[in-house]
Amino acid sequence: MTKKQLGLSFIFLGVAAILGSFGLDLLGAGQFQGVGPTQRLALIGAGVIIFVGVTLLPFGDNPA
Amino acid sequence: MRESMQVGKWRVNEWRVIVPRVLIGLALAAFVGYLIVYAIYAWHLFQFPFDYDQGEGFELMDTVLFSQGQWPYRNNDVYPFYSSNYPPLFHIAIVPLVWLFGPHYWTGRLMSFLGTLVTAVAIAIAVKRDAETRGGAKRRREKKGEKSFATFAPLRLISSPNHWLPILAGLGYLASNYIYHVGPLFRQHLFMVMFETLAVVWLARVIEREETSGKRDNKGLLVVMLLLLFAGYTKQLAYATVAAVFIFLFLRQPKRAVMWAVPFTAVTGLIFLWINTATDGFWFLDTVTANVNPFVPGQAEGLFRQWFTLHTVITVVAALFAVYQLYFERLSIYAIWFVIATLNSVTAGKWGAGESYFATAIAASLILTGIAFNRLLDWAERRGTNWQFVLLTIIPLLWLVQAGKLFHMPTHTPALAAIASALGQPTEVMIAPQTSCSAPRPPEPIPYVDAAGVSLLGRPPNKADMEAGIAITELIARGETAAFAEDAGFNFYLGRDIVTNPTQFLNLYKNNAVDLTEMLGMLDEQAFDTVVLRAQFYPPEVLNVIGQRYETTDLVQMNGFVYCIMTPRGR
Repeated sequence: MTKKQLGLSFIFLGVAAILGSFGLDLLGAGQFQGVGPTQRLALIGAGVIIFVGVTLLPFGDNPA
Repeated sequence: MRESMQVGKWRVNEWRVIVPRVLIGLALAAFVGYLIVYAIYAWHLFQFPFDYDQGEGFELMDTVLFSQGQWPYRNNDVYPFYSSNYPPLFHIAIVPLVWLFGPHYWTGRLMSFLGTLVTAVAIAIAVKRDAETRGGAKRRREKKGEKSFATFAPLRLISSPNHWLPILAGLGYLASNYIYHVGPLFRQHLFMVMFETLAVVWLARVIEREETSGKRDNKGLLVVMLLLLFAGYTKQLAYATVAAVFIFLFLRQPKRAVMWAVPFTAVTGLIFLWINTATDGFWFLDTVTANVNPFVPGQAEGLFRQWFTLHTVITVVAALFAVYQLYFERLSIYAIWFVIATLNSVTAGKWGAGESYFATAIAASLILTGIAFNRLLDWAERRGTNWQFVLLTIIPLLWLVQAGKLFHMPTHTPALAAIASALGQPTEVMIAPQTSCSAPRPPEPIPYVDAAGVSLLGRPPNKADMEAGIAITELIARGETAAFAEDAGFNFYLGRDIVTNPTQFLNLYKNNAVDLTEMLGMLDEQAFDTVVLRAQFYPPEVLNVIGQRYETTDLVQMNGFVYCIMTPRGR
């Protein structure tokens, strides 16, 4: 796997985590109106993962 | 006195050789000191025949059941209301000792202690192996005509990190407050960490060998899988290391990772199903349902803060090196392991979990730190003696800073108290005994100092603790039945039944997975001549009927806990 592929995987994971955290709301999980504390933590974590993923993209075909 | 000497084409002041040597010597002395302290604590624990940490006796009970060919995964609803929530491997490993010497606490304590020593050696080997690999790279560079500056023999001795860096990394594991606290206890957690570390270190070796030779080493990978299986069947928490190994394999060889993941999962699952069938489903109830505990965010945050404060140097260096590898090198198994183990340490916030959940992250961070320092020294060697002196001064200093942050020491002898005092540490701390079933007691001096703060673990048990344990058994011996006790040690000492595993029972109760009818009936009928409480880890209904049918007759303090000895009312 290359650094670029790893970066794309991170971006995919981060986006999936964001969608998942809101998806849980649709299923009725969570006890807070709007964004709850756990959800906020998950969103921050997902944001960090996406950021790391984006920064890996320029490293192209270097092996991960 | 000569102020400088010739090193190849460089002039080196003598003090620039002496200072790093002294610092390395001091760092080694500090960590050897922690090893001695660890051995003292372990030796005292081996001789103590009662529970030091809540739950030890139940792990001994698991071992006894295995030694009799029985499973500890059983029905909690009926007398003796006992079951275990842990996988079997640690206890099975101790069975031969129980066969030979009987059901003694030292058997499991010794096994866990030896496991930590094996882990420390594995950490040292991982760091040494990297140094040797780098040595090979250096030789290849020299063949190509690239010169190394460290040609001066005394400097080469210390600039070659083959010896002292692996030793510091290995001893660093035993010096961690968390490993010290739990290592010599009859607890299976660090035995799991031993298998995890062996698996990861062996994997690194297998992959390195494969990439060097260009040949697949499937036998080597099979050993890794077996070690992971052993880790998982020692404690469930090993799933994080399993994930790290397969992520690493996937990054290097995606198809092969999948090819190995399938049989690994199948074997793990088949063993699970076999045990579940053999125990009529109690394996699932006792090891899965009973481990669904509430998450306490404050506990997780507090432990994360404490872990970072105690292990700052090795954590920061490991994190920086992992980031470096993420961008500028191939990610090593150690970097992936460190990140996943650290993230998984959040499970320390579960009710019933604790500091030992950081042990895997600590092992990983030590290997990464050792390797990072190896690389820096290797880099410095190519840059010239000035850089070497700088790094050979900074690196041992960092180890000394880390040693200082981990400070812990029993001070029960004049010599240990004098050493603590000479190091500018207090010789005792004031801690109030833990009470749950009796009135609070004032703080009293404890001859144990720990940078982790007030700790109930770490102080070697003493003669007073031994006498207190025996006093409790004498009170139980006045009756004829096994005691309904939160600790198993007293009934073990008297050769009576082990009744209940309270935390397991409480976990099952919280998950609506236990029927209290028989237990409440026996307590109501005063079927037990003695009840012994320490932390009241029983469901409220049980505590309620104990309160109605039993009364406290004696309070005995052991290991900093006040035990309430209760006998039937009206007798």
